[in-house]
Amino acid sequence: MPKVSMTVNGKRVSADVEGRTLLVQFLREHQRLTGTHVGCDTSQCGACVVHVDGKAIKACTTLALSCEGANVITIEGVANGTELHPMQAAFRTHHGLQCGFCTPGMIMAAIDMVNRLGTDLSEETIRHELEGNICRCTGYHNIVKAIQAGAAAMGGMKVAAE
Amino acid sequence: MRVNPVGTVEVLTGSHSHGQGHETTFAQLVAGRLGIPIENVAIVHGDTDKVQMGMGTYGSRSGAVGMSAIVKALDKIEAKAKKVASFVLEAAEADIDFKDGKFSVKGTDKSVDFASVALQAYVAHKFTGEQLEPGLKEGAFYDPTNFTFPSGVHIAEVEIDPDTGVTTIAKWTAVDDFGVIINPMIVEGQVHGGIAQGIGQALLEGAVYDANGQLLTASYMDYTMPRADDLPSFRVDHTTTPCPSNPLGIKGCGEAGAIAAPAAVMNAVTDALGHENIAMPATPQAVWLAARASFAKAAE
Repeated sequence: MPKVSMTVNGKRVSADVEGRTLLVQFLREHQRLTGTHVGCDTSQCGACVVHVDGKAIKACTTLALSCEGANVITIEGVANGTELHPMQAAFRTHHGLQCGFCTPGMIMAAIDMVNRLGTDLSEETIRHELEGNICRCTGYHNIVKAIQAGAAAMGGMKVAAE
Repeated sequence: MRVNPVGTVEVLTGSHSHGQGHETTFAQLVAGRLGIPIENVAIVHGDTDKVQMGMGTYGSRSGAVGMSAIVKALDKIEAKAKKVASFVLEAAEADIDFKDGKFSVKGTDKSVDFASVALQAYVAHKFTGEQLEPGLKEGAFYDPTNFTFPSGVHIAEVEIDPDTGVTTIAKWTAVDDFGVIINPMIVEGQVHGGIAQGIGQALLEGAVYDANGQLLTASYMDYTMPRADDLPSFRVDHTTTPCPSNPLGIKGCGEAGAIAAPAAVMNAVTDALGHENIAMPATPQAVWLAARASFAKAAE
């Protein structure tokens, strides 16, 4: 079996995997990082979104081997210790989740949205950008509110850091 | 309902939560009634090792039925705790008041807090086993005396492109009466989700089989779930007419959106097209055909 090595949430990891192993299987089964969910297995629902080299991708349709040497961030890697990431905190404050199954993917997609498009996001932009993430519980209403607030909070964080 | 000797409370409930927020709403109810911090209340559900019997969460009933059972258990806990407090405060049971987490003797400044009473209930230093059975743990079952009758109005404003048949939800306004609401944010979240599901049913979602019985809509590639850009933000409000048939005056809310939304959408679509023969889901193709039929009729 081929060996794959990558950095996951800042930690160097490697494992011998079958060539067909998907990134999401590598994360969930080999690394025991079960925060990344598998919803549809067909790139449709977005529950499996993680960041690979700074870009949001769907881990259910990415081969682990194709991430050799990559820097991977999962939902487990966004909080600062016990302090939630501003986007996580915004989902909590705005009731942006109910059953929570889509939430890890929603948050990873939302952080990616801010990284690409900035911290001042319109409702229209957020709804359009969420095209690849399905939620059955919330009707998206509070997810959109949470992302808007989380993006603004990420902006505040950037200003404070500068 | 198990009150621990340190005054924390565990509620074992047969109403399972899979996103409806019972851990929050039920805990709010218990914390409010006992005057203790909400983080001191644990809601335990869905584990048959711990919860003896449950029938799940369905029919918009966990508030009206599940919480009514919790109220009955709280009544028993309070009654027993008052007995304990009467020994601690050396007063007649009838003279004990319970308010804001404190047991006090009427007309005096003598009082003891809930956690101290919980400890005394177990250590039983202030009473004998003959006077009172130690412990503070009660159970209750609740069988509703009647249905609850929530009501409301949902207004769908749709825009139809006659060239493509695409229906857009331009605006949504809903006012529901769920009786007494414990947590408005959670209730509104339930309504949002229900509306989205109802709009999905009316416009997008359908299980399609071919003539041989092969499911054609077997993945999200083909089965159209509502996505964020299929929906607007919803304007949601409520009126409050307490329900007469349960102790909290609560009516069901979970299904409200999913009940009202398909009817509101289809009324709007048929109103726009002047054509009543449109089945759900009113896909762009179905709407386009209906629009053409309406135009042809108008041209006659």
